[in-house]
Amino acid sequence: MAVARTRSVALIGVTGRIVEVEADVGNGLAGIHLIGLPDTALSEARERVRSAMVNSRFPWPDARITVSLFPASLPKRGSQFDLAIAVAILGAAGVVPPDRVSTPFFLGELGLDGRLRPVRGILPSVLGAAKTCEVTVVVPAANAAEAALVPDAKVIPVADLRQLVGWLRDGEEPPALAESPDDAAIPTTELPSVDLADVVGQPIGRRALEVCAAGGHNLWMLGPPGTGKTMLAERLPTLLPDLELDHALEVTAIHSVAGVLPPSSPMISRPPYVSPHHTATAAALVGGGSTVVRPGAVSLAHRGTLFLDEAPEFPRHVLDSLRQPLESGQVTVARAAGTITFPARFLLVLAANPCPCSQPATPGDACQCTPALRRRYLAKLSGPLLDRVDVKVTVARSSKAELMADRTFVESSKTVAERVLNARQRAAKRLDGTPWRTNAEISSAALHADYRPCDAAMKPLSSCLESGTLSARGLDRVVRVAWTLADLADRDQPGEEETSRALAFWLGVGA
Amino acid sequence: MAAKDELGRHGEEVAARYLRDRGMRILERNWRCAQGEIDIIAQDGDDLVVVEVRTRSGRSHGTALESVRPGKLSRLRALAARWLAAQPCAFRTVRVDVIALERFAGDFALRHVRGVM
Repeated sequence: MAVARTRSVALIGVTGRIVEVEADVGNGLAGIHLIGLPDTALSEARERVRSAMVNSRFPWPDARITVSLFPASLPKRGSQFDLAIAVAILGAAGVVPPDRVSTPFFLGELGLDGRLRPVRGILPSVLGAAKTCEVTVVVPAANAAEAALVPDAKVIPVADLRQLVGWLRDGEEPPALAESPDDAAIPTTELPSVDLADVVGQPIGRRALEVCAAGGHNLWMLGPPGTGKTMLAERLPTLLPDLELDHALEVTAIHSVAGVLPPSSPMISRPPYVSPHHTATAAALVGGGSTVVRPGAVSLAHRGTLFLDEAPEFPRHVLDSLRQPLESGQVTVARAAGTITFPARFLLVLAANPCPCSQPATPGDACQCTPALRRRYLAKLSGPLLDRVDVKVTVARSSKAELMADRTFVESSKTVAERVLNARQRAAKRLDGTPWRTNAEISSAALHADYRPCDAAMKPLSSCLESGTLSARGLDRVVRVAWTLADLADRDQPGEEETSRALAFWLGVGA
Repeated sequence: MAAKDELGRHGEEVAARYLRDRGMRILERNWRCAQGEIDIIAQDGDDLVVVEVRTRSGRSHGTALESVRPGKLSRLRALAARWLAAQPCAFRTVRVDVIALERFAGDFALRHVRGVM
């Protein structure tokens, strides 16, 4: 009888791949056959589509219906193909003109009554569809705001199947997207209500936080409990500037796939802050899952902060699973369902107590842990992991004078964030034309070719290189931090002062 | 006889007449054994055709055609083998057809799907 073809998008990790959906209504025993490697949720689309069409008062073809999803070898999962399958069948059955359905993309899950339900991963799907050219995308009304974030896509929000068929038959536009009053501006996510001014004392910790925020460097804080390590880490997001549009889209796409996007404000414009508990598994951290591979904490923290409080309490293999994403800025998860790469360029903050007992309340009281226990405790943080941490600081208890001082003179997040923004802009200007925006991202090769500090500045590092204290990677990291220090000090080039300070940060002997 | 049985009986009558008009020879009607029943056994040239007839008074409980499930077809195929075992003659192939009848305004709409198995 008839064949109709339409398009949808399959998600592989956080990238969308275009999928063609064909429906053939032909001779044979009445029934519907779905082919093209569907998973369980997609196989159940047969029942949803049938009920949705019958309950929307469209004729269900009393014939053999074959629905095929191309490319046939790509495994497809989830319910977001429901709408495309329904539209293809409607086209093949002659309810809507087949040529009207061939070019737009259809995304969404169907309810049994014909209503369109929202699905996760709309943003990366629309991004995948819009990769080639300007496109028209039909999405559930509840996902419309998220889909509209993609610049070159014409979004048709639809509430139910009848409305969609009306649009396909007569071209009558569904009710337009509720425009936000100022749709040029990116809707901002709420700012956290913490401020750096809440932290008393800790000049070294504050300085380290500022350097890390400015350059995107990793930070390790060691100190007894109650000194403000967690407070400092929680205030790091307040120092970071807003995400630029392309980064915001990346971050939003990951959160959309993970299904943790707030429906009210679909765009994540602030750097995310993720703080997993120390019982987290390696799969929770780097991503995993047997059938659907979900992004883990490192990907949810993409372009933001990953804070591991009580780092030595994490299992050692979990901590070491961070080594590869820390270096490459992405994480590749291999499962039976496929091998998927998620972006994972995050700022790592580790906090640790010096030993499990952490008793010394006063300087006079000795720690009750044996030396072997102390060594074993911190040895959880392996050498290769700490080699990737650019800034290591020891956070000491604040003195009585600091605690009693007038807190109105404490620097607020706003003041520090301004300095951070200036330093970041300086770095971005220098890195213009490269794929990087912060000093921490510069590749090793480029660092030695284009951004090599002068010989005088490199002098403090040479003795450490000779003695073997500084690895090749360590050298790169010290130079990157030195650049950030120069940016913060408004200098064109890191000098000897910057490199020696960066070295001190790397060695963990304070600034 | 209950109304639904009468409807089914009538449908089979219509189907048999239809097949005869198409040049098939009806060999047997409502052949039964312990495993089940074949509505119509017919000969189409050199082929043996096992026909399942479904009759519906309307579409309120689904269409007549879609009420035939794959399980029914494989049962029919097995029944055909049992019937053949008792026959002296041979056929080139064995085919399973479905005839779906739906009542519309006092008349029947007939659909014949050939070779579903």
